[in-house]
Amino acid sequence: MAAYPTQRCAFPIKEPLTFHAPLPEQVEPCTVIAADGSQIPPSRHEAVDFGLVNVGIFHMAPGETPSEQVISQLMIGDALYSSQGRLTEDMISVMRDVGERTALAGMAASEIGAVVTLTDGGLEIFREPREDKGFQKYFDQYVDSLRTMARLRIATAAYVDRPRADLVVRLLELMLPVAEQGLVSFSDRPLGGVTDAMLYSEVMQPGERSAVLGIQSLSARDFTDEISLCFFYLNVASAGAKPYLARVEIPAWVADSPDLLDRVHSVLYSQAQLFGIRPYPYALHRAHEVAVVRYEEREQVEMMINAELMAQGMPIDTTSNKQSGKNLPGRTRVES
Amino acid sequence: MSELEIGRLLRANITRCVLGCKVSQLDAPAFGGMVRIPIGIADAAYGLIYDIHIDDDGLVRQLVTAEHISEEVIEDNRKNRNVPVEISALFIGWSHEDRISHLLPPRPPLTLDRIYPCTPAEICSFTNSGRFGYFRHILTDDTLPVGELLAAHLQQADAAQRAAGNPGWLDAAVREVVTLLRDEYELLMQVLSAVGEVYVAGGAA
Repeated sequence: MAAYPTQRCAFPIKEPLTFHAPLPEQVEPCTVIAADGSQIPPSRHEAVDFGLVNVGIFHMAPGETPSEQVISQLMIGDALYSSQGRLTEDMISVMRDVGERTALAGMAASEIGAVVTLTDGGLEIFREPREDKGFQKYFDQYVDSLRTMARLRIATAAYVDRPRADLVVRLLELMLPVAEQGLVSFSDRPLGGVTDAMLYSEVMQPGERSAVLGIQSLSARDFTDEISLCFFYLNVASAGAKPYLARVEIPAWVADSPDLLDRVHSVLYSQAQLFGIRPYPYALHRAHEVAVVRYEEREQVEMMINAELMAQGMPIDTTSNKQSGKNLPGRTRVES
Repeated sequence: MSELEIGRLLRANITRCVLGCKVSQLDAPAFGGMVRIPIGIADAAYGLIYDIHIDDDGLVRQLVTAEHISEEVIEDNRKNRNVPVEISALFIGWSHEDRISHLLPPRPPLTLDRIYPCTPAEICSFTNSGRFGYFRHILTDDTLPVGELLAAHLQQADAAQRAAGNPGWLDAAVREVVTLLRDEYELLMQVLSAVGEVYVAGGAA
């Protein structure tokens, strides 16, 4: 691996690649706090040029009625611009990621007792342009919130459903003789198309996790020391069911602590079991429900902004001709 | 007048309405129960609950497939998720200031108007007014479970009447039903069969 420092792949830490651990037997009941975000990117084609980041928090403590909270950030006017110019969709995504993480850190810090915080997707932030000063500011906030959690020893994890990653597979490829030829194009790769989940689903029983592995990549270098990125695979299927693997990304301070690691392992499996025949962490789904901004809600926000603009005697605009055409009834094409 | 609000109006027309309430409010309304919906300052519509409907959604349908549903998940779905209980009520009359009429209200209530259960005094006042004219709204609507609805209403109204010192009200109401349905034997038998349960139960709610 030292010979391939820029190759994005997994690397073993303490446990061998073939290691798999059963569900921990006794883990104390703990509070689960999940966060998810949604966003409305600004669009010059809409009647009102605004952006919105919505973060939904779902709090679930043993023996208590769960609670929801939503944190909204509306961007309009000057707030749509950074020092580099107009906010891009990527920048708004970063703002959303930071919003989720800082909200979790804040809530978890005030908890008494064991707690696990969850987000959907990876711990890394893959956004461009990375050289944007605005991005750096948000990235620094993101890292700060992770380090705060590390200081408070809060168990945190990011859950990736139906992972297509091949981090372990790429590691295996590095061990093959063909590695010396340089694995550039997909067609050259001897194991191209094989995912980690395909490998691990052959050996992991329901409830088991794989070895905890580190992530080597250019972007992962931004996460150092206690927030270095690690991951494991978890079979969230019920007993007797077909394997269903998720990838769980955790920071090093969780990976290095057997208690925190067991807690994350146990909580994620039990949360997924709550969801019935399509296992997925219940708290994450509810956080998504809280955060999501539906089309009708977007329209309502637009109407409210227009009403306020009119009340202040300011002109209001209409949708662009292009968007107006798209909005005509009878459109059958599905927009992604 | 009861101040315990049981829900808010979702939609209405001139003959009936649907109100929504949280699951935590579900203790109050009952099938056959009478409700009052203020219209404006001086008017109120009276309704009879004929359906209580609890909807599901995709998440609930999936949750029931889980081996174990935790109490926290149950409470979450009852208290937090926006799946209200829908209660349908048939209008049976209205009042203007203190004057009660068994005609349909002149206009329906408005969206999100509050709905209150009728107190025993209000039940007595409404059911003593006129001569059971409001029965026709129930008996002529073949979309309703007429026998069951009338029986449930009579049981609750009888309880209020007895408490107010009027034990003969139930007999008078049943005689009126027989008179109204004298030319509809099948429906009369169905209704009397249901109403008979009220007597078996001692006429108590």
